[in-house]
Amino acid sequence: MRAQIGSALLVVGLVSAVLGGVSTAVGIGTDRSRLIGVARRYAVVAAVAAAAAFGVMEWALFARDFSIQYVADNVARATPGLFTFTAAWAALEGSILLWILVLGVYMVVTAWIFRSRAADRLVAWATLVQFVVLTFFLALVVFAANPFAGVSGPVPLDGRGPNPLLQNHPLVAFHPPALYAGYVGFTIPFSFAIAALVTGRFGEGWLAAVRRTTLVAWGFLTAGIVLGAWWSYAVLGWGGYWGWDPVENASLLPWLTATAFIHSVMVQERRGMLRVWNLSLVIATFCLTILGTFLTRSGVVNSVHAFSASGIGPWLLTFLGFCTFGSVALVAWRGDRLRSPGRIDSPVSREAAFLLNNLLFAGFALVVLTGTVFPLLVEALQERQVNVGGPYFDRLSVPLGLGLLFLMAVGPALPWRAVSGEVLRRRLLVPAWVGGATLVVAVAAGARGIANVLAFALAAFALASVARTVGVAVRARRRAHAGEAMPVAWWRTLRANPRLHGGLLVHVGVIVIAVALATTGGWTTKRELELEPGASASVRGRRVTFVAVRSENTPQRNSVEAEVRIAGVGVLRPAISSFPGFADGIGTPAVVSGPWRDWYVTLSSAPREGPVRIVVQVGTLVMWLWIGGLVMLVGTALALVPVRRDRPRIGDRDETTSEAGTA
Amino acid sequence: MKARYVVAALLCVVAIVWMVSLLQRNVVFFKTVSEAVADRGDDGSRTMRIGGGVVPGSIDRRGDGVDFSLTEGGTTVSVRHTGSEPQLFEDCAPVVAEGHWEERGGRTFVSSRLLIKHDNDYEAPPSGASGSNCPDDPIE
Repeated sequence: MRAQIGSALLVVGLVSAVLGGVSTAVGIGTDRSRLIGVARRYAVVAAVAAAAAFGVMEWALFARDFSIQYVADNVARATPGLFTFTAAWAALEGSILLWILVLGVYMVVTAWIFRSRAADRLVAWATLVQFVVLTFFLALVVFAANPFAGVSGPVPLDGRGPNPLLQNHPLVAFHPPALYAGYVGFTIPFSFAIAALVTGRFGEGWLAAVRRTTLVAWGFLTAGIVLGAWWSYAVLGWGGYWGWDPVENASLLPWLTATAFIHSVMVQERRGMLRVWNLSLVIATFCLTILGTFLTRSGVVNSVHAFSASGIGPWLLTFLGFCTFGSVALVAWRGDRLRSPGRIDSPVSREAAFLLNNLLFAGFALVVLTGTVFPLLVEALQERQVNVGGPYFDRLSVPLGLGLLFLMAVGPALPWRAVSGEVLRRRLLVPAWVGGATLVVAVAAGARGIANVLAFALAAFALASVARTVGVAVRARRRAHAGEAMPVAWWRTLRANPRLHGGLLVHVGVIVIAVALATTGGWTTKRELELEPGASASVRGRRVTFVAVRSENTPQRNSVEAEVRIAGVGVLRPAISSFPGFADGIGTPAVVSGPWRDWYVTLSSAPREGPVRIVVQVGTLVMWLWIGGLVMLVGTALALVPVRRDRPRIGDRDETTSEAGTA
Repeated sequence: MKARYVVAALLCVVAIVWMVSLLQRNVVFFKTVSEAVADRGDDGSRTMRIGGGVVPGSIDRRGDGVDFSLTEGGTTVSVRHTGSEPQLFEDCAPVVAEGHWEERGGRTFVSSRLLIKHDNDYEAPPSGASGSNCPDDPIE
């Protein structure tokens, strides 16, 4: 019953997406704006159908409707409510349903934002592209990966439950949706980029149209990546948070190109340069999200052999090829008209810094892409399994990251076009001294490794540079508005240019993360202990005592918990849990987080009696990774605050004037 | 202006060469125990990953690591691992060891990294094989 309703809703969605696309296309072809206006209603219908289908899926999950294969595979009667809810995206089919729902929401919001310009050819073409993408994903669930497909054979009495790793931590409720909201959001800038190519309006109009959506998507993707690292740290029990795993890389790739775009877009707005480059970055970002979906959702990552077994791999690969080659062909077709009007005047200028920033981000993306795809190519061509080791990524990402830190210090301080030595000295001398002093202090304090020391020095340099920029602005405001209280002056300064200050705040978040990465990399102690009950050992000067094991059985899981007392830290209870339906247990680390140190204990083995084996890890500044992520999000939100109308805004430049002004 | 482009192009080429060479040095092939033993003559002491199941009762812990036997496809090798153990490293666990053969054509695999892994290409030791009683791998 629910299966039929769900499937019917998906078909309704698919039909509306097709009708919407056809109606937009005919409207564009015959110049009838009414048809294009109608198309927007189809987007609403498709979004509502997707939301309803998602609702039916939740209903089926909570009702334990095991006649649906997806439900039988992903919940058990004993699965708690939270993980029943999250089971909707715990496996392939459901996650694509969520993807469609998010895309529908983005489309409706975009249609609403552009409601008065719907007949504009740029917007109409963008709508058409969005309908094509929506149609593809709806066709995917209707024909290849239907989440409402029935079980083959008799209806089971109980389901299997979610994968143990997905029913072990509440973060699973936040990490995947945030990631999808990021991935899917890039469809909108992509659709406008394609529309700009087709209509030949490569000016700044399409950029202004997608600036906010791109930032929103970028913010969600950032949140998704940071939450993913946190989840990895809190659940997987290896004590790390980033392992250059293909699935992690898949989320990092579009983030890198989108970040490059967010920066290079400013060069185009200001100087009209880098048009092809910006279009390419947006297109690349979208294609990389599809590649990421392909890598993570088709089972190709573990082994190419699983590829043929998965129904959606070929679909996604075809779609990826279609998007990539179609876009490249469009860019090539328009190539002659894409010539940018401006030039870079000086290698020491804001635009040159942005250019270098983009080179580093693009290089970073190339490094990660090569390392991620190479094993797949070898496997496809030679039938051999290979793995690209972490050192490859580490060795290459460290200099790239350091270069980006340096640019964060220097770039925002450089004026456009050219700079005089005097200005450079005034803006950067003090921050550079701060960086230099930090370097000396770090070495004196015993920091090891040239990369770590440089990371601290450059982070201090960048932080001081940001502080100087904001400080100068606040001082100027206080001089102009005497008698304003300090917090008011701060807020109004930030408010006067939210885009700049939001961006700088994001930089602060990145700097915090960079410092945390350097310290967790350099100052982590890991000790393996074998302790009899009541025995203790000393780790980093603290007594670690194993008290006893305790087993706890619930219908959801059977856990063996070890009570470990750490003097001055508290009692930690690492566990090993096994879930009915899954033969292998999983470990659950116990963590006590502090602003300075994290105590992280995992249980390696816990026999009923006798000694247990535990691993105690002491990490430094780990918590600041998550705090830095939060700062980045607050900065992104600030950058989205609308500017007061009394100041002219670059992004608001009218399409025609900007074309005339730059062409 | 011309010279600047040449320098930039050269820097890019150097960067890409560096990337490719690092990639080459860090590529690690995966083999199951039986494949690894079959290729042992050709592999010498190159770094690779081997996968199999831990032979029950073979785990012998030393101060700085662990010795154990790994079996797959009817072939068993002994592994000498130095370093930490992954969680749930125990009898029958599906294990991937990263390391190299002790000497050319040697019998012992020297491992520096252990992973617990469920992989499509690896099958847990069948029940009853070589006296072991491991349950069948439920993932397969």
